[in-house]
Amino acid sequence: MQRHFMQLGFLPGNNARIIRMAPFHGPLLVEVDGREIVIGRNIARHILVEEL
Amino acid sequence: MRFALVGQPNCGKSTLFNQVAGYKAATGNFSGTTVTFTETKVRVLGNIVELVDLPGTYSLLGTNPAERVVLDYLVSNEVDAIINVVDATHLAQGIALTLELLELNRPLILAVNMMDEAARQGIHIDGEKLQDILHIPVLPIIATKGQGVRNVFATAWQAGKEHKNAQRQRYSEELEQQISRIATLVKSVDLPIGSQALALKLLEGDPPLTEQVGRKVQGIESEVQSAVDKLCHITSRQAIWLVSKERHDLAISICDQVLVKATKRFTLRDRLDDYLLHPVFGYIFLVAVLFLFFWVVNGIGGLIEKPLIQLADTLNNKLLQTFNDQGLLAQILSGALQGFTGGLAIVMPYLTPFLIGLGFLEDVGYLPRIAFLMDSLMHRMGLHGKAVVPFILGYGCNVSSIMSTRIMEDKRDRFLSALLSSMVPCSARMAVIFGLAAFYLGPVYGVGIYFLNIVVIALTGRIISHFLPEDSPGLILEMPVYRFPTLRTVTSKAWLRIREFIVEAWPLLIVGSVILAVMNYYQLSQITDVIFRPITWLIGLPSQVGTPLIFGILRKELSLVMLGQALGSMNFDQVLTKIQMLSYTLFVVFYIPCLATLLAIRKELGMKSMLTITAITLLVAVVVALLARIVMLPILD
Repeated sequence: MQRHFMQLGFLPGNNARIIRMAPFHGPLLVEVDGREIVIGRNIARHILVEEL
Repeated sequence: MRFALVGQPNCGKSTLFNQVAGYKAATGNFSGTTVTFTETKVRVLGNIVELVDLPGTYSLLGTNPAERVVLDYLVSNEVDAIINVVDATHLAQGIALTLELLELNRPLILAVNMMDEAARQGIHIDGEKLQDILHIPVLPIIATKGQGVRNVFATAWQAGKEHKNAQRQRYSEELEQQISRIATLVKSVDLPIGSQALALKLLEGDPPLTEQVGRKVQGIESEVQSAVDKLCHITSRQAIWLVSKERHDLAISICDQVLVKATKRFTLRDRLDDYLLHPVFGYIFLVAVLFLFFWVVNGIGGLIEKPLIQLADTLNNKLLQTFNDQGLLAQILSGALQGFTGGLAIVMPYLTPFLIGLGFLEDVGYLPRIAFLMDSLMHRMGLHGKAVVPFILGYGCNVSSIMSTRIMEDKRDRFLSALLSSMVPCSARMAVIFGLAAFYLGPVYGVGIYFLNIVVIALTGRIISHFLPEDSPGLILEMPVYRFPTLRTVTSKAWLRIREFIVEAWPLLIVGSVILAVMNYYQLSQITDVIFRPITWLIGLPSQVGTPLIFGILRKELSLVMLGQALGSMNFDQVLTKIQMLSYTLFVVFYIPCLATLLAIRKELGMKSMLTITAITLLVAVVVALLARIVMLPILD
């Protein structure tokens, strides 16, 4: 799981931007390293971010 | 000589493969289309070369069975040259995998794909500079148009012949120290990958590989552990993160040197998601797309089915009249004719527009958007969001959806999505829905059945996940950019599946119909009808439909083609009541997956899962058909 995340570009020190959220408590569309990735909220909760 | 195509998901490996192999590997604009390897022979500079298309992977240490295939293949098979395909529009991520491939110390070619898309986005890549940094050949290609493909293979041939092994880049001093320390320890291990590559993989922590090496080198686990501890002490990071981070940073710095990015112009295509993923318009559009798709398939199919069915029935009556009796020969000929015309009149008219439409939606990249919009529903079924890929593929063929469950890590998720996606009406059952329910009861029933199907699958998923509880982590899916599909890929993809129907299913339809004719003649079908009698009685169907249902397990189309034969007419409204047509269609949609799907389930998940899925789907089918009979009786009759 951790590894899969890493491969998608969720690495320490990387920038991420939430582009949009799906309704009904749906997933988030996040841009990391110029790639758009859909992640469920359950996982998103485990990502620690600092606001920029 | 053997070449392997390696690259990240959705970078166009299979498209490149198909350019040289003819259409053999399934493609689509989303990750995880290829889950196993496809091999073909191609001619390069007058020599025959084996070409292998491997599943897309973000890294060589795969996290799921599909990705695992890549490292296993490269470790156990002699590959003379690796062709690494990267997406020019996501160069940095692609290069991270390239750096990992460089470690393998094999001849390596970098094919930078989608140069047209990159140009559109104002990205310029200095190929020569990239070549100087990586010390491997770098070639631009546009796989969809076949540009540069010949050059790639010629270069790969040259590299393979001269054994031009790639050299890896150097990482930080601390890491290099540990790599060379572990590398000297594992020097004696006889694997096709070099000792330094092996050392890196051990540091990153790959349990199966560590175990494999552990059997040959005593105490390697503790050595690796102490190296990991030492690195953690110096850098305050786990080795697995450290290695990825270094590759990632190196990839970024390489990209900075070779990439010139113009300020991005926002075109309509970039803005499209503002509408298509909009909380309100997104769903309106989704319903509209599905409705349009349905309407076109139904319209075209119905237009062709009507005259063909009449022609088939007239021909059949003529045939029986000519023989003027009910002799065995007449019955056999009539059976063969019905099998043939059944495929022509009720399957092909719907199958063709359906497959072209599905291929178009796949290639545009709309399907992952459906996943985005529908994820909260999937969640309520207790499913991993990734399960959306098997679901979508299931509308084409359930065998490919079963295969695609390999993109999931967890066995429980794999079982659940195999079960649920085997209930997704494939193109064969689509023919039953359109040819029987929509054609005789009206299009609204066709739409209704598709909708009901989703509801039933969701309910089943909810009930089953109650018995197999687990907090599913949710969706992780890469969102591809929209691509305009080429006519050629869409038609050849449709043709691949239509050909499969013509070659594999159609003969079976004819043979099955002949067997039924013989069985009818000797009144043997009454015996087989008995097997399904408890069910057919329960859902209010004539006993003769039992045999078509049994044959339907072989190929779902048979349940429709043989139905006409068992009942004596292809004009179903003369031999079945409306409510019977509805419960028959519903039963066929849900009951037992076809033989090919069952075998795929056994192969992927084992005998026990296969039998469980058979039992559950049968139960679901009976319940749904029975409920429909009770609820719809006052409305339909």
